[in-house]
Order: sequence, then C-alpha cells, then structure tokens
Amino acid sequence: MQTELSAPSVLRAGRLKELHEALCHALEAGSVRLDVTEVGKLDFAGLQLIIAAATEARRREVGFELAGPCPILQDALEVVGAQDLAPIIGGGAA
Amino acid sequence: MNSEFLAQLREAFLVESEEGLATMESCLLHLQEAPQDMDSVHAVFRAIHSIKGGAPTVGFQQVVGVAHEVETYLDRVREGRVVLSGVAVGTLLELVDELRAILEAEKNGKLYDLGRVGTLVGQLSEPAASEGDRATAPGATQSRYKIRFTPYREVMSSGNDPLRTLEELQRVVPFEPRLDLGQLPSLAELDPNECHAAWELTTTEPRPHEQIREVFAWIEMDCDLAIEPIAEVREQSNTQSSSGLSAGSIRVQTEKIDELMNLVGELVINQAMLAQLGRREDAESRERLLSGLTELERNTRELQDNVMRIRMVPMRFLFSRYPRMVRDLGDKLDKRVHLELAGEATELDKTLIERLTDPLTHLVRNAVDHGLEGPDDRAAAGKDPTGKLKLEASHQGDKIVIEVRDDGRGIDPEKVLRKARDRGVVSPTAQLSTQEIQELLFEPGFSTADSVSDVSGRGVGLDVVRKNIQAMGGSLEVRSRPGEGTAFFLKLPLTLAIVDGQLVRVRDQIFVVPLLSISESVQVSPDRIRTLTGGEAEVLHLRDRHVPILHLSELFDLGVRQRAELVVIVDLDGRKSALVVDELLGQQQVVVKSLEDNYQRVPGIAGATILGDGRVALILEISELVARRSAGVAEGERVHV
Repeated sequence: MQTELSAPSVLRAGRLKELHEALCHALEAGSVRLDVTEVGKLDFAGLQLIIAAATEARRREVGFELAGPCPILQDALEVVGAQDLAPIIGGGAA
Repeated sequence: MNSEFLAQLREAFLVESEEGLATMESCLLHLQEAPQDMDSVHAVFRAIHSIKGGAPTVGFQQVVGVAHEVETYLDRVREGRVVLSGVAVGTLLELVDELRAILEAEKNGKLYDLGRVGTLVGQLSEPAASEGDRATAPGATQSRYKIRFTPYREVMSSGNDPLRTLEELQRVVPFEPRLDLGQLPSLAELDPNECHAAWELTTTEPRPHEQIREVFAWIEMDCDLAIEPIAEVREQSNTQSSSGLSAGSIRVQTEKIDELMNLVGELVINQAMLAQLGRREDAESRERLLSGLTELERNTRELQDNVMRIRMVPMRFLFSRYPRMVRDLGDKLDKRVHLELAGEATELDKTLIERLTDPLTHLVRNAVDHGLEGPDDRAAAGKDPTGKLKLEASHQGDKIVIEVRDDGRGIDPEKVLRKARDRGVVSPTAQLSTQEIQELLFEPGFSTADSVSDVSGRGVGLDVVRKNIQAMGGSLEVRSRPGEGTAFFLKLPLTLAIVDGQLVRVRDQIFVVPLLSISESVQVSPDRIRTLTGGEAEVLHLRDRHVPILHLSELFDLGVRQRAELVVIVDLDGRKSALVVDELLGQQQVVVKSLEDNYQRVPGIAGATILGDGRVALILEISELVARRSAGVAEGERVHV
C-alpha cells in the first residue's frame, strides 16, 4: 500500500507537526509518496524531517519517494549531503 | 532591560567568565608543556570567544576590548600563522589575570586601568612571543580545511539554522559534505525542532582561515566546531573534552541549596517531635505511629543525604588554582617544582571548600617558599634539582584528609627548639620530643624561616592556619624529617551543616559537644582534682597527665561552680581539656542552625539546634572554649598542689 501526501509550502521549525504525524502514520501503513512541489520555504528542521522519514522508510523496508520538481529542496539536500538519502523524482535542480 | 534582570545576567556572566578563565588558565599551563596541542588552543579560543560574546550584553565594554585582542592573537595561532611560544603563553596567562581584575572592576562599576593590558598585548606581537612566525606572503595563509561541525540539539531554538550556515559556506568556498546521522532518532521519536545531525566538511579550494571562520561566527556558540587546515588535520577523538566540566552537571545557586537544606532540617526536627509524641500514645496506635515514623525517618535521611550530595563539590575546584600558583612561585623564587595533584574527585561541602582556600594556599606557599630548596642546594644534597610537591585529598570515614607534602629540607628540630628557647616559648631546660618540637611551629608568630619573603608573607603563621582549620571543626598536624621533607595533614568534617554530637546537660541547659572532638567521658573522684596554687584553675589528674578543667556552668553564666564529678574530655590537636557536665544524655545527629543569623554571635558557641522536644540546644565551639580556658596551665605540665 502506498500513501500519497503533500508537503506544505513552508517547511520550517514550529510548523511541522501535521506533516510529522502524517508521515509517521503513513509509514506504519506502508510506502509513501510525498509531493514536494509546493515547498517554497524550508529550514533544517523541515529538511531533517524529510531525511528522517526517508531513513525510517529504509529501516522499515518500504518505499519513500519525493515527487518534484522542487529546486529549493533539491539544493538543500545537496548542500547538507543528503541527496542520495532522499532523491527527488520528477525533476532535479532548476 | 530592568535592573534586576541585568543583575541576574551579570551574575551568570561572571560565573561563566570565571569558569572560562579557569579553563584558559589550565589549558595554557598545559600548552606550556605541549605547545603543539591544538585542542588546547581551540579550548582557550572558545573560552575567550564566549567571554567576548557575553560581555556586551551585560555592558562590560572593557572586557570586550581585551577579549578581542586575545581572541585575535589566538586566531592567528589557530590559522597556523603564529607558533605559540613559551613567552606568549606567559603573556596570555598574565592577560587572564588582567581579565579577572577587569571583571572585578566592572562588577563594582569601576573603570580598570588598562595600561598593563596594552603592554601585554604589545608583547604578543613582538618576535619573542611569536617564535617561528610563519606569516610570509598573503597567499601562504590560505588553505583547504577539514571542518567538523556539530550543532547542538537546541541550535534552532536560538534562531540559528545549520542549513543557512552551510548555504553561506557554499557561497564562500566549494566543499564536500559528509552527513553524520548517527544521533538521529526514529521518526516517531524525532522532535523536528531539535537538530540531530553533524557534518564533516572538506573544502576543495584554498581560502583564508578568517573567511571560513566568519561563516560560523553566528552559530559558533551553538555548536562544536573545529576548523583545521588539511595538512595539519589530526585524529580528533573528542571535540567537547576541553570544556567538558558542564557535562552531566548543573549549576545551582548556593542560596537555593541552603533553603532546601533548611527545609530538610525542619523535616528532621518534625520527625523527632513526632517520635516523642508517639511514645506517649497507647500501645496499638503507638506501634502504628512508630512504624510510620520509621519509614519517615528512612525517607528523611535519604532526602538529607541527597541534598547533602548537591552541596558537595570535587576538590578539583580548589586544587585547580595551584598549578598556576606553584608555577609562578617557582619562577619568582628560581625553584623548580613539580606539583602532583591526587584525589581531585574527592568531594567536600562547598562552604568548606571556600573556607579552606586561604589556609591551603598558605600551606602551599610555605612549602614552595620555605620547604623546597633551590636547584643548587638540592643537587648538593644529592636530590633531584626539581622539588616535588604533592596535594592529595582522600576520604577517611566521615572526614576528609588533605595532605600537603614536599620533599624539601624538612624541619630541623634543633633549630626550632633553639628559636623557641630564644623567644622564651619554652624554658631553656625543657626536654621535648620531636613531635612536641614540631608543635611549636603552631605557636603565634613562630617562624623558622631565615628571611621574610613576600611570598609567604610575614607575621601570619601556622597558628592562624590551624585556628582557621579548627574553626571549621578540623585539625592540622605536621610530620617532618630533616632533609627528607614535610607533610601537613589537614582533617575536616565533610560538612558543617550537620554535626554528630553528644548531648550533655549542664544545670537546666543542654549543650551539644561535637563527637569529633570527644576522646572520652570520665567519672571523676575528688582525689583526682588539683586546684592550682593561688588560683581558681583546676586540673584533672588523668593517666599521669594533668588536663585543665573547664566549668561550662561558669563559662556560660549558669550558676556557681560545683564539684566536678563527670567530665567530657575533648581533644584539640593533641591538647586535652575536661568539660564539667551534670549528665550525659545521648548521641545524635543534629542540624546546625546559625546563631549569628538568628540572634548574635556568642563566643564558644558554634550554633544551635532544635531537639525532638522542641528545646534549643547550643552546639559548643571547642576551639574557642579551649582558647578561653584559664591561663597558666598547659596540658601535661607538672602541677604542684
């Protein structure tokens, strides 16, 4: 089973509760496809949540896809060295 | 910012700065031995950087300026542009002293004269302070770096963002990141507002160190950071070790602990009151009450023990000042001294540690100044030219013992005896044992030093040191062998907040005699008491010695003297006195309440306590009582009646 989720436009500390809970529930059920095309602002808290979700999916041996394009997220993943952990499908860097 | 808040901030800043300066001092001393230890350089840099960062908030502008100069110099060392020399370490140590003085002045709202600081900062830029100065062409200062960047968990709550920092770094220099997620919890356990990542970043193009450091300027207080030129990158086991004092510890204001201690004291008193009530009830309810009280007693004791532990501070806090002091003294006196510290983890009540500082410092100064010989004299005596001084703390039962031992010239008993005779301290014909001769060192104003120096001072002698130790309920002994060295043994109770005491009745008053002072209790037959010719003073004939008798009823104005039938023998550093009491009531642990805080200071009384029946008992200060005893009779002297 795959759950489809959409990330909000702002992925920053203090505004991640809903997405955090949704990712937890969805990964318990199976694979997750997270649409990140709307993401326009993010900080390391938001990025870390996505990295943690990708790591959790690997641990559970379920699928985890980031559906793009999302240049800002792509750049952020590259600058912190996490582009291989959570690759974005459907678009790369702008 | 309101004044109360500012005062709190200043207090916190002063405490943190003192810790920072202590770290600097200890790392600089280490750098004198191992000037290549970059971890210590980083630790010194971090400490001064924190002081500089906090000073503007509390308005300590002079501190900012001096800290900036020190930081700038250390940065050059970190960049590899300057090799730290022994001269520079000495200058930096002096600047630490200046910073302490500036902080003290700022605390009191005064401006500090920065003349000496200017000279010292000037010295740092002189060639002698920068041996092997590596600065050549500007391009030579550029390098590639390995950067270990570990943001603290709460980094984002202070407004910092590791992502922003890395993006900023990317604008300055290309780098290859290696992300470490070893501390990342499971998704369910993740607090998204905390940072659980760390990085090792390898820059791929040369840049000046300053430019790289600038990127991390804002976040440096919220992370562990090590920036090292690629060529000099070494294995680094622990980037946090140098300032690791705070690991697992919490800073608690002493006042708060004292409040808690008072509450626990009340609890102990309540428990004792209930225990007495319980004895009056009928059999069944008494049994239940007593059972509950047993539990209450257990819990109370446990709580008391826990609170006591909060007050305990490792001796390290006291010992840490001596490496610097001994180094400076050695330089000043042209002596080589190796200081060994042992038992630094031994814990002692914070109040006692504070009161112990002066006496212990005196003993250490004495040892370096008078105890240890100069290198030539030592070599002539067939000794290692470097003298050894050892400070060791250990627990022995319910006491702490601190030993100050040197391998110097020792105490020459003949010299001491000669001086004592010259001064009339002992009669020309008196025959004294070695132990008794060494005890003469504790006589007021007695010194065997051939010359007075500005190191050990003049006038303040071992008598004052012993008096201070005795006032803390402790004792001070000396053992020495000529030519081999001297050891002072300082024994102290672990705390002053609680005393194990013997309750005694004198008329209708109950006193507590600290158990540590008691050697025995004796029922006295009239034929063992001697009254001195022409005086009121009495002595007790006890096993071939004469012990001065103290009538507590007289001393505390409780009525006229009665015949001594029961005495408690107290022992103060080998000198015995017999306290006349009417009844021995039992032994118990008592919580000491300050008489000075609640009433006024009373000579001979260390404090008060509240007994189970609500009565107040006074705790005797044995050292003061003995000092007040009738003059003219020293214990052990032969008395003719």
